[in-house]
Amino acid sequence: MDGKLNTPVFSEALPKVKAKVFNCKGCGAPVTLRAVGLSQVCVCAGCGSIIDAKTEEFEIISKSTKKGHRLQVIALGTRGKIHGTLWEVIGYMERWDGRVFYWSEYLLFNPMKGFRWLAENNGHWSYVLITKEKPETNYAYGQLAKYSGHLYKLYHKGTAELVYVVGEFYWKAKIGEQVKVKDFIRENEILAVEETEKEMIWSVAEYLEAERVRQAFKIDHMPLQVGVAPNQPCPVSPVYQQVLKLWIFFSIALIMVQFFSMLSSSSNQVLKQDFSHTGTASVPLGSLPPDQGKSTQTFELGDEITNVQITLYSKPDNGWLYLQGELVNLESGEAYEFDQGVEAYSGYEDGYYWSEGNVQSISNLPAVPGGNYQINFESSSDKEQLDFRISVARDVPLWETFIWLLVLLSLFPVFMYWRRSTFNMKKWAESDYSPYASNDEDY
Amino acid sequence: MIQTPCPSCGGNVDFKSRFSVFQVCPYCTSMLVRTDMNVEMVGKMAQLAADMSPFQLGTTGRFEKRHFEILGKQKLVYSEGNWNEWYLMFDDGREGWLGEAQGFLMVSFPVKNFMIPDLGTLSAGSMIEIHKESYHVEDIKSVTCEGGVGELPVPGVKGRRSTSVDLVGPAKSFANIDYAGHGDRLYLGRYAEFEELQFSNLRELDGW
Repeated sequence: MDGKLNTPVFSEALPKVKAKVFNCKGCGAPVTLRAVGLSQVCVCAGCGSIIDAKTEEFEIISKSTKKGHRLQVIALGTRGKIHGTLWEVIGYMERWDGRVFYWSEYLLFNPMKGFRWLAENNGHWSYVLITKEKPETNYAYGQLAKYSGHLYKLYHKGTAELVYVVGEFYWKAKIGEQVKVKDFIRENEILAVEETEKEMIWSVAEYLEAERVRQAFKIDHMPLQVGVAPNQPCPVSPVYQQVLKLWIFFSIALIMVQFFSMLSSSSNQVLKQDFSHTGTASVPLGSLPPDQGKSTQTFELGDEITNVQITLYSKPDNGWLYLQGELVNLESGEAYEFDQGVEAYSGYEDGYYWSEGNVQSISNLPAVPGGNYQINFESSSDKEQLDFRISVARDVPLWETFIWLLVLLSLFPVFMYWRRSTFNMKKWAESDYSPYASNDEDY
Repeated sequence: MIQTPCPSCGGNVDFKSRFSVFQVCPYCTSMLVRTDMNVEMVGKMAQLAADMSPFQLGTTGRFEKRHFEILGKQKLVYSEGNWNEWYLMFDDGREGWLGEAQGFLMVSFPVKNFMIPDLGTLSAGSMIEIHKESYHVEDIKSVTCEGGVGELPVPGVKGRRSTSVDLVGPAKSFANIDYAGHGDRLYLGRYAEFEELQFSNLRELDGW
C-alpha cells in the first residue's frame, strides 16, 4: 500500500461555482440561479412560477403574479457599486401597506458580503442592511428605539404584504405573506423591524441620492421623485449647523466686546450746567427769535477718542424746549452738531389726571477725540421763561448698537431654522407620530 | 497533527486538530472515523451540492488577532433553509466554527463547564444567563446534516439529526445549543464582518 496519491481528487477547491441556468417546468423559459446554494426559491420571469431552488429538481412550489404594480427599473443580473462594494441584483419584489402605498425592493448579492436590499419608494432610494444587533425598544412607551448608541423616533406602524416577486430569494417567498412593520427614523436612516410569527427582523435603511443609484446601475428611466422621504437628509441642516456655530461664535464675540466696553468705560460726567431760556412765546418754531449765542463753560474730554452723551433736562409746564447746538473743540475748531428737545403735557379731564412727554432727551456723538470743548447752542421754546440743564458725559456704554448687531446677526440663522423646520414638517407629514402635528388632529 | 493511511485507498490523511474525530478522505471520499486506537471507514461521502460560498478547505483568516485555518465543513439543513459550518483550527490549537448563513458570518467557540438546560425548558423568548450575560432564545429548529468535507469534531455524515437552539445576546453576540442526544454542546460567539476576518486563500468564484 505504498501507492500514495499526491493529488486529492475530491476537494472543495476543484468544482468552480457559477450561476446555474435551467428550464422552468411551468413554461420552459430559461431561469438563472445566481446565489447558488443560498437562494431558497427562484421565480420564473416567464410564467411567475416560484421554484424550489434547493434541489436540482427545481419543482414549482407556488405562483407569483405575472405583473407588478410598479416599474422595475433595474434588470436582474445588473451589477453596480454602492459604497465601494460590487452588488448584483438577483431579486425584485413589490410590497404594499394593505391600503394605498406600493414600493419596490431589489435584492442585492455579493458572495463575499452577503445580501443587501435597495428599496425604492416614491422615487426615493434606500440601501438596506439586515442587522443582527437587536435594538432596545423599551423606551418612551415604544416611541423610541436605541440602536448602536443612537435613538430613533417612531415614524410608522403598519403592515407590508408581498404582492409581486421575480428573481431569487434567500427565504421561501410567497405571494400574500404579511409582516407587521415598525419604522423608526434618525437623520438619514430608517431603523425598521419586520415581525412575523416566528421572528423579528431588524434592518437599517440608509438614504441614497437617486442620482448615485442611477449612475451605479445605469438606470435609463428613473421613477419620479415625489415628496420627502422619512430618511431623506435635510438639505438645509448641514448649512444650518455651520451657521449656528458661526452665530454662536459671533454672538459670544459681540457679548464679550460689549462686556469689555462696559467694564472699561469710565462714564465720566464732564459737565453739568443749568441755564434759563428767555424768549417770545407762541411763535412757530424757526421763525421765533431763539435765545441765541449761548455757550457752556469749557470742559475737558480726556485723551482718548470716546463717545459723548449730551443730556438735556427740563420740565416745561405744558410746553416744549428745543435745543440746537454744536460741540466744539476749542483747539482744532472741529464741531459736532446735534439737536434735541423735551416736551411735557399734563392735565385733568373726565376725572382723570394725565401726563405725557419726556423731560429728558439724549444725544449720542460717536468718536469724539480728547481735548477742551464747549457747547454753543441756541434754545427755542413756547415758553418765555424756562429753566433747563445740560449735562455731558464721556465714554458711556451703549446698548443700542449691541442689540441691533445681535438682531442683524440672528436674521440668517432664524431664516435657516425656519427652512429646516419646514422640511422636517414635510418629512413627518405622512407619520401618525409627527412631533409637528397637534394632538387633537383626526386620525 | 496525526497522519494516518486511509484504510480504503492508502492515501495519507492528516488529522490537523486534536479534536477531530471525523474526516473525509481527500483522495477517495471515504468517510473516516477516528477512535483512540485506529481509523475506521464508515462509508463514502457523496459530493455536496455546489454553493456560492467564498470559502474552501485551507482558507485562512484572523479573528480578534488570532490566526485560523479552515479544516472542514458541514452543511446543515432545516425546513426553511440551509447553512454552512466551517470548522476552524486556531494557531494556539483552539477550535472554533465559522457559520455562514444567508450572507451572515458568525464565529463561535465551544463552551465547556456549563450546565446546559434541558431542551424541554426552553421556548422562543425564554432567557438564560451565560457568563453573566442574558441570552434570549430566538428559535428552535430540527437540523439535519447534509454531509461534510475535510476534518470535523463531529461526525459529518449525511442524515445526522440534532435540535439547534439559537440565542441572541448583547450587541452582536449569540449562542447556540446543539442537542444531539449523545452530547449536547454550547457554542458562544458573535457576528463578524467579512473584511474584519482578513481571509486569504479564498475560493475562486466565477464572475466575481
